[in-house]
Amino acid sequence: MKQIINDLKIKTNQFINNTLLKRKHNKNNLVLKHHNIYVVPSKFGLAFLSFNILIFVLGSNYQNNLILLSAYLLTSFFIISILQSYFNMMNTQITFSSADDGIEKTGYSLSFLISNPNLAHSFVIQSENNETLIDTVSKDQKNIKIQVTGLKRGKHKVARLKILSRYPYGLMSVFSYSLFPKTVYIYPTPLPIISHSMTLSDQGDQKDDIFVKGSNEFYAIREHLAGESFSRVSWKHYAKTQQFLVKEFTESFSGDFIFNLSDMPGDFETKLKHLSYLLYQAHHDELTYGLNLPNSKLPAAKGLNHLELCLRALSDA
Amino acid sequence: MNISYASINFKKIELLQSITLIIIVFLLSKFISLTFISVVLLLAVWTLAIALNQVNKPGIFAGNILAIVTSAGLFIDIGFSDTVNLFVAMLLLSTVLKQLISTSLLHFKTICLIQLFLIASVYLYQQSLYTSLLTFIFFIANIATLNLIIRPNQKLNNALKLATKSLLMSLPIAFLLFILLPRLPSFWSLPGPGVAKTGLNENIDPFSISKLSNSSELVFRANFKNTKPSPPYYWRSMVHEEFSEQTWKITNRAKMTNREHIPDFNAKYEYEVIAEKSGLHWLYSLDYARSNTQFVENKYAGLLARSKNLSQTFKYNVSSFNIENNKKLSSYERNINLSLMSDSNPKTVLVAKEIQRISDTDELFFNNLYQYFINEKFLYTLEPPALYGNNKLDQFLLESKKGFCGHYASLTAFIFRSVGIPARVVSGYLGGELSSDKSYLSVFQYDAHAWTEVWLVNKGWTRFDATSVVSPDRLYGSLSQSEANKEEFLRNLDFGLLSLQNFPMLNWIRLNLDSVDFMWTNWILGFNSQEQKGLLKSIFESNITLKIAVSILVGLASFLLFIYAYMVWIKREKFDTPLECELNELKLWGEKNQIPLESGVTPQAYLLLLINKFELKSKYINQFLNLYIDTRYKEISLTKENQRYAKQLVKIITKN
Repeated sequence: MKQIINDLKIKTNQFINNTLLKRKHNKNNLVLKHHNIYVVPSKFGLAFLSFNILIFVLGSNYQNNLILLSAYLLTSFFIISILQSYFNMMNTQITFSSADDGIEKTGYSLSFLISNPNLAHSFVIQSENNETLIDTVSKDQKNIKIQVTGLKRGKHKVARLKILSRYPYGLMSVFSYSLFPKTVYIYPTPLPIISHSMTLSDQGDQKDDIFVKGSNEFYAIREHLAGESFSRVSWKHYAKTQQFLVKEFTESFSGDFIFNLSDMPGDFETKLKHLSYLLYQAHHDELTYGLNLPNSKLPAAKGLNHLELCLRALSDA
Repeated sequence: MNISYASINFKKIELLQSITLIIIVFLLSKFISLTFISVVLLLAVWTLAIALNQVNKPGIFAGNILAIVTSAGLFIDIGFSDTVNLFVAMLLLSTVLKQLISTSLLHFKTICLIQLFLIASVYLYQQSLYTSLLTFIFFIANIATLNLIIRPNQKLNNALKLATKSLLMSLPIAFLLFILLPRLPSFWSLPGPGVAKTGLNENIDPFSISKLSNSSELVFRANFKNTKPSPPYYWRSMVHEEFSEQTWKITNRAKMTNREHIPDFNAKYEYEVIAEKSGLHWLYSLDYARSNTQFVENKYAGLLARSKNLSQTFKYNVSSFNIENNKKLSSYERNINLSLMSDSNPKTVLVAKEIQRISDTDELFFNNLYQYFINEKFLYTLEPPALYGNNKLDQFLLESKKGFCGHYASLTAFIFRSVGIPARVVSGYLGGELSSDKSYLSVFQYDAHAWTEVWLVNKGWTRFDATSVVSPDRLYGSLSQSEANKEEFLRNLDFGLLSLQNFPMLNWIRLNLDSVDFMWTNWILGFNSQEQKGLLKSIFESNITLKIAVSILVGLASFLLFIYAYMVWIKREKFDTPLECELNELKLWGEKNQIPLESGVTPQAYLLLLINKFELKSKYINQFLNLYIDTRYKEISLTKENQRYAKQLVKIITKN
């Protein structure tokens, strides 16, 4: 049941994003004006109005002018607060700054700049399932970074931001949306390879020995030390002896590692997770590495960009 | 929402809410049981102490115990008879208890709303200008609290400033609605709150009062429409016809009768009276009065009474006729106005008989009695000597000869009755103080008076007031202006501005405050549905409903539009540096023509880009660019001429 509601929610959101908000809110740089600000009474505002009606009834029943006048005063205060809350948000500028890929567990981070030529107050920025409070937005651009979690691996559109403010009196919810036309990747969460009991398929020795391909030559094999990178573990040995053995290479060694999906233990997703872990480790150890996936092949290379490419390939797999 | 508010400091909110609560308790203090109010005040001070970090909040258990104890006390102390008081007291108690234990934003919001309702119910009890000013302060504090709830980092005085601004902005619309929005009739009848009884009494027994306490409380104000009658003003309120022992009472018949008023254009005076709240239904009028105001009952003997809204200021129209015009006396009236206890006050009866002996007609008796009071050197005093035992009228007539209006009225009515002339005691007010601009008359509690009405053949009911011969200056103006009794009067008066009337400055202030208060009561409190109908009719003439709707909408829209324009103007982009504004116009123009200013592009480069794109206008843009470079980069100060020139250039460029 919960699942159905959730799906429905996602679908309506998508519908809103695609049809209603696309024209006005799909920008890297959004200035909030009358055509893209929405003002509705908040729950508290409705409660305020109903108390107001109660006061009006009291005044009518007792034919009491001052009670009636109070009710009118509060009503017109409500009307004035509509304008005030709108003007608080007006002219706020939201500029996309960056969206950094992330892993499934922590989600991706989105940063944007927010500013207002005047002072604007009490903003709540909501995205999917988290919120950030901003007390004051001023002329100086403020960099806001939010973390969007709960996404599966893959390529995603940057989440819709809801910019909400109930300033000044909480009677009105003034909100707008910002849809940055950007995409972001969620990588499989790195999964240390020891934590699984794996059954490494032992097929064909010639394919197995990835580490010795090309000009790689062992210097020695030694036991794995705690905290050490797993990228040099000899998986073949592990499969056979349940023992971590690390291949040590000659110091001048600068060979390529090609990580292969089919070498990983577990089901498909687990394999991806392990690969993700290995890629990070390889990057950390400044190795030259490549990636072999069913749908894509990445030649061996180095550096942050390469890591990103590889991880994105994993996400898309 | 899953934001943690734990870090937010609620102290400012608590402080404001405890202050507003104390305002409410203060405003209600006179009307609800003192014991209960002091308990609530104690709790309210506790909340204030909590807000000031002096003491801790009670725990949940202690809070519950407190709630049980105080609400039990509430029911015992206030009881179930006065439902309105009970309701307000319960509301008050629940608010203060909630405030003691409030910890979350939701609690604070709820308290704000309940407090709003509470302050509105204060108006059930009193409607003075001062109350309303205090209430306005309350509204400011309450709204500032709402602001603090939304933005807890806000400084307290900023929140108050903002709230004041918003409320002041709301006033015009509020008054627009107040004047134009038609009043609805009462949806259902509700009991009014009980009002403490002061002033007049339905039973007159002057001898049981040792000292007349004079309150300077306002009773009513009268505003004459066309001709103002000349003084003395005898404001009739009640007629006491039933005499037993020493007490004059109102007959049940007088209480019950309620006649339809048939408009009559022969009225002697037309005026309106704004009566303050009162413990009694009886209203005030001159001579034989009739009224067509809603909720006014036309009673027996030309008296008026209100059928509801005792606790409120109440405005009504009166037409007064000559009381003598009513020349028939029914047998019922004759009987009740002649009845006397036999054997009481024999000496008085003897005196009456003696006067009757020398008077041939009732009318002569009437005059001779006046003469008797003059000859016998009666004295008017607010502090008469105490009389003991039975037959007090005898003692008063023959021994003490000192008394106030009640004594004289009681005595004369008895004397008339004892010789077979129908007579009754009337109580009300005598005189009144003219406002500084002489437009209205204010009558205070110390103007209370009692006199006698006598039935004379051929003349009908005629007023006999022994005070008028005993203390003639009492007839003209208010008791406060009477020279003879001044010292006594001031001694008896409770402390107030009036008691300081010997100081001219303070008296001037008092009179001016009074006229402000009059405007308030007349225009705001007295603006009832009848008056509204009259006003609307005179403004709109026909098609009233439609025109009201249109004018409310137009008024509302134009006001909001005005505020909108003002705010847009306030929030417009401001350019501090020279030529910035002109550059911005060019930028907007460029955007319109699909060449927006990309971020990171300098103005200079952007202008060059424009020059390249728009060959037709390149000349002008180039000139502008040169000006811009001169002022912004070479720091040559911009002359007024060049400024004007730049403006012209922009005009030419942006014009298609």
